[in-house]
Amino acid sequence: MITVTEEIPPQVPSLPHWPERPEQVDTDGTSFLVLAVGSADEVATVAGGWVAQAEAVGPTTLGILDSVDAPEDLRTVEELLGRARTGVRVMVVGGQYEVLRLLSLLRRRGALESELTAFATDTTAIPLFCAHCQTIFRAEAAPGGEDDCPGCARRLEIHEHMAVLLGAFLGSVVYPDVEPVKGGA
Amino acid sequence: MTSTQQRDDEFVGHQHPAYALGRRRLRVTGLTPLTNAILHVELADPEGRPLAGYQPGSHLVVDAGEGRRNAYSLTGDGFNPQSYEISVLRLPEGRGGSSWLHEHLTLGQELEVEGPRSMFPAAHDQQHALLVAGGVGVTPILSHARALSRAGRGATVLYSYRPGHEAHLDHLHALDTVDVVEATTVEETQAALDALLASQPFGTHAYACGPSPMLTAYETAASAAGWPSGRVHAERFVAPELDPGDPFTATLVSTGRQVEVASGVSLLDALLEAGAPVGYLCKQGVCGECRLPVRRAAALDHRDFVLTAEEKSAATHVMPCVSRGRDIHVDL
Repeated sequence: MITVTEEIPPQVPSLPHWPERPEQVDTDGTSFLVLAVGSADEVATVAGGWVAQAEAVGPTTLGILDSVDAPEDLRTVEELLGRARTGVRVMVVGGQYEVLRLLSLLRRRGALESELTAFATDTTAIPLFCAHCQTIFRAEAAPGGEDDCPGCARRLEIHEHMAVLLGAFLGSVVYPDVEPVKGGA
Repeated sequence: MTSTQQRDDEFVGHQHPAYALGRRRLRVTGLTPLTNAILHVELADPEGRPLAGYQPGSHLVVDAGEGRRNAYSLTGDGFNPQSYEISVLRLPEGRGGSSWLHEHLTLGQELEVEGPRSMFPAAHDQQHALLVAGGVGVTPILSHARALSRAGRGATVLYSYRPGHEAHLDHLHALDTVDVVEATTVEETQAALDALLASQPFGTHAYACGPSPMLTAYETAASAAGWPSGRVHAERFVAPELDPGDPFTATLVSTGRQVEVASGVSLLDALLEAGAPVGYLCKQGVCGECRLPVRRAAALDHRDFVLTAEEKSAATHVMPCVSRGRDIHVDL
């Protein structure tokens, strides 16, 4: 007979930390890739600042994307990464949702934290991962809030937990005893 | 009866021979001279039982006569191995272990081994691998190249060797998915390092094994090419000479016992002298066997090649065979 007492450690929130202003370009890099999402003035300003700094150090590529979900934009990102050589530093600017999705893609392609710089121009939306149907979607909400899953129509509460590789916050059902709507929303 | 014993009684898993990693005897089933100074040794279980699989880049600890135990890189891909294969360079100026193996090994003989142990593994998320070998440092590089080739993944190998000493070159060329670049002089090696480090795809990790000057050139070239240190991996088989250092005091946290470490004496030797149970192998800051947790220290002078820069600055572990410091409280 084995008795195991499990100690549950205090829950520590894992939330993204955004710098107040864009960080400087890491001049240890030998080439640079700036990814800017959206047409907001601040996005253009931040990307322009990075490009100016990076061009003084090495070859610099600016990729401008309309969204991070459209197939043609994702193809552009893949093409830019395919041309990039190790030694590159990647800078990402856009809204929080776009930046987290792009960082997730970059990390899954093997990027190290020391190669990434990111700046979020707003925190109005988050990528939300439904723990039940595994859909990741854009939610105009924040940790502590709620939203409906477009995959399974469950009402999700948003936890203070963001998975770095997944690039999304954890959402789980608010009313566990209510049957979900079959066939989605 | 402790709970650990109870658990062992209840769950008798991991009894299959392919889980065995402890000290055991294997039979010499193959001896092939690759060059006039490198002997390739194949070892298999005397009963024909399976051997433990291993991560590419792992090494095997081998009894090298007269109480010596040497670590040699395994050259296989590590997947379901039927034999363990190592290549031993005869070092007349070494501690004698390699010469003993060259002179005493015969087919059918049994040899005590331990491991394999993984100290030079591949990054799990690498998109491509740049493998750099200098001389007999080709052995773990061949292991990585074979593992990648088995997985159908590509790699670029730079092999720097002196003509006539190109052990395993044919084995590297035999791998379909692997590009091999050869260099036979210091200048060629440097030029190839610069060119290759500037042209690897995004997400590449680099691995090098070879003599210290080549590894220094490799790390310098990688840094100049903008590679973050997290992508630049190296395994050393010879460590540079170290100065004797200042005397200091170490404290064993469990008992509060203080151990004086004199100049010219390693923390490891002082701890062993004091009867503290510390496992060790290379005594050169290379193998990682003697790694000790540190509770606190007034200063730590890390002189090993095992801990990463982050681990060194965290000051939570020390390699007592080479590293020193002041007022080190070791978790023993």
